[in-house]
Amino acid sequence: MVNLLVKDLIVMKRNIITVIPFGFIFIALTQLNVTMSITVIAYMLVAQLLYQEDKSRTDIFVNCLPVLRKELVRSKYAGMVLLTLLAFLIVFAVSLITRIVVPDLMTSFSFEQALGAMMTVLGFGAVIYPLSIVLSPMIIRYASVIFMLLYVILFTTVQYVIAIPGSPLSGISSTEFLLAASAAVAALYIVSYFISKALYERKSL
Amino acid sequence: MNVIEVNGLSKAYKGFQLKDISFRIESGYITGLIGQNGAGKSTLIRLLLQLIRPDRGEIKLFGLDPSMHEKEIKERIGFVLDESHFYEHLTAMEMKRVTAPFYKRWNEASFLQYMDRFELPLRKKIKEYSKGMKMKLSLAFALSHEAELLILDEPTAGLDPVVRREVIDLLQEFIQDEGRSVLLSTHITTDLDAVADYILFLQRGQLIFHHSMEEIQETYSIVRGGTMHIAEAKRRFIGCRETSIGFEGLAKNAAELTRVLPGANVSPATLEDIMYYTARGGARHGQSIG
Repeated sequence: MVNLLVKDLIVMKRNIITVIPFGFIFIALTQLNVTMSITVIAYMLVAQLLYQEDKSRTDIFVNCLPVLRKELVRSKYAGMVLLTLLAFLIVFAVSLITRIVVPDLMTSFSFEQALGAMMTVLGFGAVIYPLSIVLSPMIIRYASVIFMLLYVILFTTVQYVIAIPGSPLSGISSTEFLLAASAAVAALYIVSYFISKALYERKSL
Repeated sequence: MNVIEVNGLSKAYKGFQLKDISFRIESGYITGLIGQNGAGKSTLIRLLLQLIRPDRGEIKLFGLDPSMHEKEIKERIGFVLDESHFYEHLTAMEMKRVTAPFYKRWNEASFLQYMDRFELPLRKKIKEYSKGMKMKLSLAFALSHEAELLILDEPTAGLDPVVRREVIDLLQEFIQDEGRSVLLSTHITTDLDAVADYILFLQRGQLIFHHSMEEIQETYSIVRGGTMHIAEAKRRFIGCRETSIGFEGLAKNAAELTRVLPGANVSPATLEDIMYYTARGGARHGQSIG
């Protein structure tokens, strides 16, 4: 599996290099909004990881190498975690540099916000990857957009409901909410892996 | 030793079916897989490479079951696919970095030697390579991990005659080492005339024959004759067409046929003749003709 992860990193080298300056610009534009920055950067990397085999059907080449299909699926799930962590590190580094260079600028790097953003992207991967095994790349691109829209609607709605006094969710702290959501995403991620493995092992290439 | 063993292999798609294919390929030979476009050559190759799963039947490679020994089998296979499936935004050197770690017996010196021999620039992006260069790059990868079996799907399609000849020469070199084998799919049958030891002929998803080149040359002939024997020829031949002066057709056991078609002219059939007349006449190779 390590060989597959290294392969993905080499294949995505240019994307990763491109995303770093983009990260700086995006973080500046959003005035250091950690959630937004990590979500967008990680989304760009994870989407690239999931879609990169569509071009020239490189999955056919990879499947002819001495590698098992279950290892390929495992490497995609590990790769999504790795790239999400990379996005976190980029934003964390930019925040740190900003604090050093511009000490007067009020910046706050919250690990809770970072966790929320990372879980969002992993949730996206958990839904999109198994779909990408059975559906055409074009449908998957539309599905990705729909997923992100639904996420924004759901996230905004829940935030709104929590803020309403007397609502069923009003007693929940943001930390509790985040932990519950993270646990749900982790469970979804594991279930998604087993579904993807079953689908990919049967797939005709 | 059988390097490939296929028993009762079937795979159905919408509008196409590979039907009950069985054959054995011994180690040490070049086997040509021929057939028209859509005959099932690529499907068979994809089944052998585990890219698709069979509906029925069994495949053994090097005597091993691929479902149990997939990695071990793939280590021993060099593959060339009909299209480029490389990461084309990478350079050949980066593609090598991606590919080499998967093979335990990767031979770096051999790879660099092939790149040099094929005059392929290591630091040029693959998308900037020509079709012939991409094919040569595929061959360099296939030949650089000490593979025992080469499986090539239409490696010469769309290549100019010079590159085609180079590819064929390379296969002849590869087979010089004992225990190495090649399965080469093509519809350019002239590529096989000089190099193939055996021919597997597929037609509409069915295996028409698996013969040695000697058997083919002994068995099949082109027979030409006058107009008076056209009806007889059509009845007895695998495939037949009328010409301005009579008929021309593909026949088995032509020596016997000349007794009932006096004056007919017999000449050896090429693989192209066999494909052409089989397509015209349907698959009658199994029937007793003559």
